[in-house]
Amino acid sequence: MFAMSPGNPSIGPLDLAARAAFYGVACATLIGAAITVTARNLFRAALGLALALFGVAVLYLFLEAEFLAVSQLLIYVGAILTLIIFGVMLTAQIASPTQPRFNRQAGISLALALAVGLGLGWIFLTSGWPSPSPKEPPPAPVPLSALGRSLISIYLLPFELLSILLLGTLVGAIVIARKEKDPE
Amino acid sequence: MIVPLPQLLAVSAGLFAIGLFGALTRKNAIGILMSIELILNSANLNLVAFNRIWGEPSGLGQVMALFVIGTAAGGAVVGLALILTIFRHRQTISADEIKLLKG
Amino acid sequence: MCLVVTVVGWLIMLYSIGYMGGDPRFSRFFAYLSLFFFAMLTLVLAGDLLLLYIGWEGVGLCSYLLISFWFEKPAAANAGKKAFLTTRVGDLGLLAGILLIAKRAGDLSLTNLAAKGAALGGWAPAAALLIFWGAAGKSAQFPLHVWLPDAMEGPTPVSALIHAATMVAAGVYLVARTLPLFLPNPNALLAVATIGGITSFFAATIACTQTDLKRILAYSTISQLGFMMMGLGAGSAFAGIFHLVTHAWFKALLFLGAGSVIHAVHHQDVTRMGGLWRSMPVTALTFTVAAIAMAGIPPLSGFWSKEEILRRLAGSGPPFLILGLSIAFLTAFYITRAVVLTFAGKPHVIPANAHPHESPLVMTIPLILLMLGAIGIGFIGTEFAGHRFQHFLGIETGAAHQEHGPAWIQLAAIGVAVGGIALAILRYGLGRQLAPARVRGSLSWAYRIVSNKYYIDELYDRLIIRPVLALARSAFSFDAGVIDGAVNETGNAGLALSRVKGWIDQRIVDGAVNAAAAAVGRTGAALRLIQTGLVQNYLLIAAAGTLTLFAVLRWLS
Repeated sequence: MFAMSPGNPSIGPLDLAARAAFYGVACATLIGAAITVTARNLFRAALGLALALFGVAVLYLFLEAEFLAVSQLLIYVGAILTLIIFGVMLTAQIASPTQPRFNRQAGISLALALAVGLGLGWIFLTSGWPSPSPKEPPPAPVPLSALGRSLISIYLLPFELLSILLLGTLVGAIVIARKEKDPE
Repeated sequence: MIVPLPQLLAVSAGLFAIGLFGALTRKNAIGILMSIELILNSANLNLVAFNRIWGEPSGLGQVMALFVIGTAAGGAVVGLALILTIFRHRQTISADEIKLLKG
Repeated sequence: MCLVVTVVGWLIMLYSIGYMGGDPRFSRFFAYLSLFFFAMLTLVLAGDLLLLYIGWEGVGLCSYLLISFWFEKPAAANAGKKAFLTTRVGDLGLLAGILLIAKRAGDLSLTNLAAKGAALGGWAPAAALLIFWGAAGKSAQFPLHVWLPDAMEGPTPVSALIHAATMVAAGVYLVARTLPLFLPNPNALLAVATIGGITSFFAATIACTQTDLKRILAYSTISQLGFMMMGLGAGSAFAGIFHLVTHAWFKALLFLGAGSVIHAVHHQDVTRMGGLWRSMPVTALTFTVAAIAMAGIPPLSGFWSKEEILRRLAGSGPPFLILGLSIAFLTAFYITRAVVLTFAGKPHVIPANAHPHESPLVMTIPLILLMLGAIGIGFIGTEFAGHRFQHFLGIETGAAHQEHGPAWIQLAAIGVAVGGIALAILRYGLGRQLAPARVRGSLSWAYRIVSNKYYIDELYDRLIIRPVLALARSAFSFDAGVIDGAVNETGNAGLALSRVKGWIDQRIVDGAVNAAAAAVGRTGAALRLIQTGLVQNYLLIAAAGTLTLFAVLRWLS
């Protein structure tokens, strides 16, 4: 049910709890993101990223996209984040107090980011989203079987292209990052 | 329950703004990479949300999000490989010390 | 015709191995020869006029290359040039004829020429005469004959090849091939016969006075070609071609024999030869046989074809018959003169260091083979062999050919031949004077004219070459004085103008350009400041730009 108007009469206690949970997860996600970009310690930043990614996964659950939530956990939190932490470890400059966190364009960047965020929020909150009439029931969530079927039917070509892309990045990353032979 | 759309979009806008700020300001290249992951996640959130509200039957939004995750994984791998190589050559990964594009 | 080219050509090539042995450009000579045969066969086998023309020009080119083969000799180089330019005059006519036929009849194939002649309508005589003009150039007919004697400067096998067997025969062949175009036009036929007769008679008289062995043969060739043309002009392709075939054999033999003689004595003057039969029996024998064949004594080949032409001429009217008989007489006379002066009598003046000797086998074998041909080839066209040649050619069939003509023509032909031979032997072999001294004195001017080839070369020199050269010279002086002056003045004016323009360029245009360049440079220097090379700078600019874009779009909507 759309909560477009605050005076919706059908809000029950369960709804309230769920809504509280949603706001909580949303806040955790944003806090994790903030830690990611501001932490002086890069390892701590990675943990903040983990929090944010985890929060997004929970938001997917709120949207009844279970498969995507699981994928988010597996790929992002499980794989990409691990990779990033490896990178952090390998580059060894995890936290040096002498180094500033931000570069010289921090001020203007902050202004720009604030403008973008506020602008987007303003647009999102004020746009009159087209909504079905309250009498109609809300659309059912996409079942997992339909998602799987569309992945191997109408979206087969992009799916295969993605696999080729991943293979290419695999090979490319190995080629780029391998130890170069000694010139001698 | 049905998540209120505007609030969800507001979260995504916040994620985007924070990610953009990070990408613009972090000195560390890995930090930039993480910020970019945040931006991608905000976009994904939007895709899934719109898909849920409009109920597109084939799940196009979710499929798109999946592809973005996959591509992001590839991007992270290549990006980290590049960062490692640069670090090996220059002993730094500070983005403002790398000026190869300076004409 | 194809057979003549290949067989006679092969024998000449064989002979050349001996004659050209030791020449520094031996291989080049044979390359030219092969090219010549290629072009000649193209000409002969061509099924339409265009291909024939290609072969025609190829033959012309090769004749130029071969005649001036010894191009270190100025005479040879000049002869090649002369041959090339003279035949070019003829080729012009042929080309015009072909173009005319192409324009009017729309088809150049040689198959149904009679129908084409009808399609040409009133243009048919013109086309026929243009083709004959081309043939006259190649076959050295009257006004265009001057190149052929000079072409003797080339190697002797080349002379034999070009003059005897193939090249000059091309003209006769062409006329014979396109005879259906001529046949409906009596005037065209008359022109062919007249030109042929004039050529033949003039050349025969000149041949009686020459002392250079090869030139005698050259003029005899011209004479015989004219004789063939007379036969064609009488309306018989067979007569012309028949004589062409027999002539190819005995004339090739004569030339090769002459070459053998020259090879031995190292000069070409018949008055300084004599008694050579002792030292070169094979050459003497073959040469004599060829001479008899040419003179027209039965049963050698020349008799049959010559008699055939004479018989056709009888149908064209008494003047032509008389002309033909007198040519036959002169032919017998001058060729006997050459034989007697060269081989009979006592050895004349021979350089002490040169001992005449018989030529090597590779040269004498072709001579003998050619001699056999010269004896026997005539039979294929006679009634004894059932007119095989006529059937082979397939040009003339029917009763018109079978009727024999007056028998007295044959007798007359033999008579004039024998008379010519006897007179020549009397004059040159036995040393008798033919006429009282008084008559000879009064005729010496005629002799002078004839021995100077009727002054035709000099005439051309006066009438064409010198005016052309003078014209060229005056054109040159006009060029130098007027055109060059104008050009120079234009150049000077241009120079002055360009100086003015140069000043404008430097001061105004360059100034503007420099100012523009400086402006661009300063702008670039300013813009360079934002090219920091920092990724995040770029990203910031991109994000700001995107934000601005969205703001603008939002504001606009």
